[in-house]
Amino acid sequence: MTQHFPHHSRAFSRRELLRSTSLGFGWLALQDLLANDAHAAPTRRTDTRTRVGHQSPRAKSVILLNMVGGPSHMDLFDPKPVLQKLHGQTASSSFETLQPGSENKKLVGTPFRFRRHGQSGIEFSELLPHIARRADDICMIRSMHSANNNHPQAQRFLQSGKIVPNWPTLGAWISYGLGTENQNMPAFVVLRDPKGYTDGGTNHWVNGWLPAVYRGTEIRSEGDAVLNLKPSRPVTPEVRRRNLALLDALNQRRRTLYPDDSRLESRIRNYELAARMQRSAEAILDIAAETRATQDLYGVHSPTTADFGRRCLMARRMVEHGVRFVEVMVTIANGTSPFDSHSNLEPGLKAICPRVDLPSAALIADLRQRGLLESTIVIWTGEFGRLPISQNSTGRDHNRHAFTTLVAGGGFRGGYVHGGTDDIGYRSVVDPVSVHDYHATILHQLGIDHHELHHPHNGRDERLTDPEVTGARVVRELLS
Amino acid sequence: MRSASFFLLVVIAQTTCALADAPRFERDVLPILARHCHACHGAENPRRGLDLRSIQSLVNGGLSGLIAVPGKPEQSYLLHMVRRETMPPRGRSKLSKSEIETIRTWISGGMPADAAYTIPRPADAVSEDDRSHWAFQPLANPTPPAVASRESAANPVDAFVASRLHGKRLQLAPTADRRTLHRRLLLDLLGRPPTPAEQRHFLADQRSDAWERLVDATLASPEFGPRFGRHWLDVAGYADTVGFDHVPHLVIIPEGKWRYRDYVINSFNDDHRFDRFLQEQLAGDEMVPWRTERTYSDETIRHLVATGFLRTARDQTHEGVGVITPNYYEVLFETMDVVAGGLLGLSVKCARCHDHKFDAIPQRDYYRLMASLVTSYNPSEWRPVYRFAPDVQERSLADVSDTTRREIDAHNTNIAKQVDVLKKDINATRQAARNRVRSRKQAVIPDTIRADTLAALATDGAKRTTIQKYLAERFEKLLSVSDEEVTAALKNSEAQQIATAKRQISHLETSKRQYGRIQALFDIGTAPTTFVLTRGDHRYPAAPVEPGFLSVLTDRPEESLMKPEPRFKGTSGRRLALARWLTRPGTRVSALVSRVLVNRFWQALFGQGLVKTSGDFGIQGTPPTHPQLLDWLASDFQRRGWRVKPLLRHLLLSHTYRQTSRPAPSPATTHARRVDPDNRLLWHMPMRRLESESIRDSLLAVSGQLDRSLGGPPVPQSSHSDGSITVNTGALARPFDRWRRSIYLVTRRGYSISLLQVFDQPSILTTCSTREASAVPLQSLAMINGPFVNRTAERLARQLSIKSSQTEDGQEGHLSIRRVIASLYLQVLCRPPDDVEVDLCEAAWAQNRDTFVASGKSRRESETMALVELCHTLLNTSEFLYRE
Repeated sequence: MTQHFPHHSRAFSRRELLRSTSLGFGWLALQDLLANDAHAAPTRRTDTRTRVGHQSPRAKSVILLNMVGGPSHMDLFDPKPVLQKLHGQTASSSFETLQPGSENKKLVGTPFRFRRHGQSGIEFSELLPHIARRADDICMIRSMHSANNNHPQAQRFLQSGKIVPNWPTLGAWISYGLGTENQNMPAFVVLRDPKGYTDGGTNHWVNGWLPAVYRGTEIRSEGDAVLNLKPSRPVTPEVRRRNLALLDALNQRRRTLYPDDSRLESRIRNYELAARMQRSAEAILDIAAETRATQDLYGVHSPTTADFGRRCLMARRMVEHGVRFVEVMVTIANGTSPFDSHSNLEPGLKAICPRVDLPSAALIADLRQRGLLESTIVIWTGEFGRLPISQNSTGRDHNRHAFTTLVAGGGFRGGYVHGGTDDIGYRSVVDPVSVHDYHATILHQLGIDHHELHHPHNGRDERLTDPEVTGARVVRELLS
Repeated sequence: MRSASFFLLVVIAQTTCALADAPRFERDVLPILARHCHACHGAENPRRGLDLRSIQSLVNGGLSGLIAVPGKPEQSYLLHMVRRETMPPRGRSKLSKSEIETIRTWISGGMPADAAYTIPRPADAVSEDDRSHWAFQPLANPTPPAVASRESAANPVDAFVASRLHGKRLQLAPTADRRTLHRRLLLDLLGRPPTPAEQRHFLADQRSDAWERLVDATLASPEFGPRFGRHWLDVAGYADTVGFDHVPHLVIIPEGKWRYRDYVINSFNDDHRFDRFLQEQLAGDEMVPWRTERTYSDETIRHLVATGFLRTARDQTHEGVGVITPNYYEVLFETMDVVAGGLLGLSVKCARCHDHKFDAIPQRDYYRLMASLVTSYNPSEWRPVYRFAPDVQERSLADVSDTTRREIDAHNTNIAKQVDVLKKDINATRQAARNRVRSRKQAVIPDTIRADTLAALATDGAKRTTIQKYLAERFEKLLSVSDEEVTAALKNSEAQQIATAKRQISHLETSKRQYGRIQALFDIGTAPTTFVLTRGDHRYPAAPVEPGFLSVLTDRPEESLMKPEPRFKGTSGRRLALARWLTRPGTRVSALVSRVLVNRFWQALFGQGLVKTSGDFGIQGTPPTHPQLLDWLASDFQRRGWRVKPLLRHLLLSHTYRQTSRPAPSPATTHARRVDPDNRLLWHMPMRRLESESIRDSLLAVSGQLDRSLGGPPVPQSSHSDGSITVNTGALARPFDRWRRSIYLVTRRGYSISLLQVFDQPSILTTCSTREASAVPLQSLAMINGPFVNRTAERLARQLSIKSSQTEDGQEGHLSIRRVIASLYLQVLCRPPDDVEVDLCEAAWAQNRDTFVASGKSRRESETMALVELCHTLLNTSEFLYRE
């Protein structure tokens, strides 16, 4: 079932849609009919049926590995020989800082060694040996920059192109634009560390003013996958079946009084959908169904990598089953973002990198091996980078002017390094890529023209990239 | 859109001069301009059309508008440009301090010049065409059309609706049955269905005006305020919390913010005049002399609390990281959205950065309007919501006058001093007893090492010698004196003395006086000059503006400027002027305000406004389906003193409201469905899903749990590790608080309790005009699996079985299930079941009972368990979630 742009055209009559229910109506598919209960004829799209974009797509789905906290680019991806030489000297230029502790402006090189990897010879630091091995799959953008140097704002900027909260995020926009292929699952799924939220809470996956169906659905990697998926009061299957049958009978009788009102029909269907989702979600998320070899590839059985590994593996299973956008949040430590290296940069990075390195690399390798990497965009990024000067003598403060983003698959150019920072890694100076450019390029690979994907909000047709204001453009050099 | 004509209005020939040394144009100002400006602004094609070679060409201004206002240096762009060093541009020599001062003195002295000159009237910012938009017209006072049909002639509402229907060969549907009407009315007005007792009462009333009586009684119910107040709180964008509120477990609730919520609820219950209601919310602080009052009257407090309307923006300015000033402006911008979107139904936010593309709102008008807010949200004397550091002054007021507050503070300080003295006495007495015990214990240590041991214990742990460490380790425990030992060692007289002192302390503590806080808005400091901000960025101020209104809602350019008349010292009077402008009868603007309001109330009853886009009355909004009816209602509303209850009463008594929601199948119905499938012309009552709050409140009501008390601080919530949010039952002020109406639960931006969230509780950023009513499987999951609905079913079942075993004669202990099913239907769906429904329910109940019996439960227990299942199923019916 596909529907073409533009959004306002309705390819189906309500009747046709209702008839089609017998052909596998699924997750939220009736949303179009239910756009707004108060309004009989919806004018805005609120369903997740599969749609095609404006142009032929290279990729179908996205997995965002969100490294909240601001991973240090000059310690992981962006070697700076000049900075190494200047190590210990006081910088003469000025730096935008967030917190105190960097006043003496002492330049510090990285304590980690960099080495070239793959045929492409991309340099990675020794902290991420497994990701480095995927060098030829990876498009490394060394010239990203952001608009704010505090976490919540910068994360919101990375996700929604705005620093203010409650604007639709990339995952929400893509779900709105393309719907999803598996109607028994949400289009946009979030897998966070079961220990808690990262800085910014649920803001990373809000729908903003897009319809609620495009909000990221948190699916838990431990315990029950979805809230209220199981009864809070134990009910035997027999009683449950009987109750649902009675409910169905009562609802059907009432519905005959409103022969033309589809909402009552949908309510009835929803109980079936809920049940189907229960089965489907449990099956998709059951990583025990994977071979031992695959589980080991992701490090599911090693304490260091178990958490992130499980979630990366779940992400792959979801993409395989047609989920459009999966966001995997970084593993948290002591309630904070482990990449936020204000002090103890060296031990901090040594602790977090092994937790995410192997699973991230496994995800790319596994997708490649299953032939899914071509149609899946895997993104590994934080919200900003870090400063070349020392903070609290052992750390680095936030740096919105430069950070590195890795993209693999989905038609992005593997084994390619794009852009660059200045000699000390403070600013992106060579071919800088803005967050808006990055959004435009991701959308482009999914077949969406970022100029054309819009939704009315408070009297303005809003777009993710707002190109007239931001000058967002598709960065073609990143694409193969 | 703009008319560019310059119209000469005032002729000034100020050739006389009061002071000999006051700067004059030709003698003092022109040479400065010649030196610094004429290179660009004096040539044949002066830059930006600004020619500074003569006094007349100077006052004419250029493409950026007028640059100098006689007597008002701070309103003169010229002065700001040279002072900011924006002009002359980079690379050219700047004006010296004394040159700038000469220009300032010249402007403030009235811009004297030798040559006569005339001040051009500013160009009208909008055209007559812009003003011709339907929503901007003064109210027409249409006569209700004459309608043939009997039932629609009596009520003007029906006359208007029927006449539109007749035009399409449609007609109003027949009246719904009384049970349906009763449930509809209570869900609409009180947010819960009628109880069986209420149902009996209404059905028993056979008088011809029974409906009217029911409407009046329901409007008079104290439960009306919480329901209708919520509609207004949506408009105001109210939340109990502060800031972005983006972390689930971090909730910051400023003291006393909830009082605004109660003010709104009380105003609806009291049917407070709505024009006054609006004025108080915009300028309550400017309407009462609170700055000088010795004691605050209730009226004073009410007026101050009312300004909470302007305190709903997501004020983030207590978060002191890096980006403070932009945050100040965000608060101003968001408050602008609330004021313009909420009261005028116009989205002005585009005009923050540029002239509005669709609606005739020039950027200048946006900042003129914002000038009413900057006197209190003063960026140069900013106050955050609460004191995040000791040296910070917060933006709230004590709820007592300064005089009283000082008295209370002094009184409390005095008490604290007395308490301190008493505490010292107690400590001294106890210390004496402690010393006695210690000496007794020390006697146990052998004489030879006693002195050494005491010395060791007196030495800091880290500095002890090896021997000292040994001694300390050995005797520390032995010599330590516990509080219990001290108490036991007290002499009788000492114990009595301490008891007396403690009694005195507790007495003193209770005599302490307290005061609360009001999250109000009030003017602070001197009003700063407001500038048009280039691209909405405070770092790039352009021309200064005077406080004013939206030109498109005034008749002439002069009227768009504000003439504030402050009533009391310390206030600018700007917000009061704004409030009066908005509510002055007979004007374009009050017409728009009342149209927007009555449309909101219409929407509250019919689910959809006469103007469908109830938050957008601009060019991009949808025009009204019944323009004449809208105007008639708005005029009637103003005529009857801006009272909401009479307006609602009028609507509720109409046949239009009492129509059935399910017209019987007939050729007429088929025709209607074809002609008007979306029922925009109201040929039947639209069925609609209950709002989130009504769903929870109704669940509580039908299971007999709803706590109907009014007012007070919000009921706390807690967020759990599974992502769910519930009422925090561990932190309730009273046990019944968990069953309070949803409006009294803590209101947050994005984190409502899970049941409300899943049923589309809005996460309001600035203002909210329409609620979503989605139907997603997560709702089904919440209803069938969620703990709240399960508990509700259990309570409902318990209630029914108690009731039925009481009324049952003879068969004590056994349920007459058919009677219980009948009660259950009345309780949950407000109607008796038909025979088929009773059969279906009974069969399912009996089968479930047998299953439970088979699993080893007693028959009685099984019956109750099966009843819980049945109750649960009834709560899950779609009928329960819809208002028909």
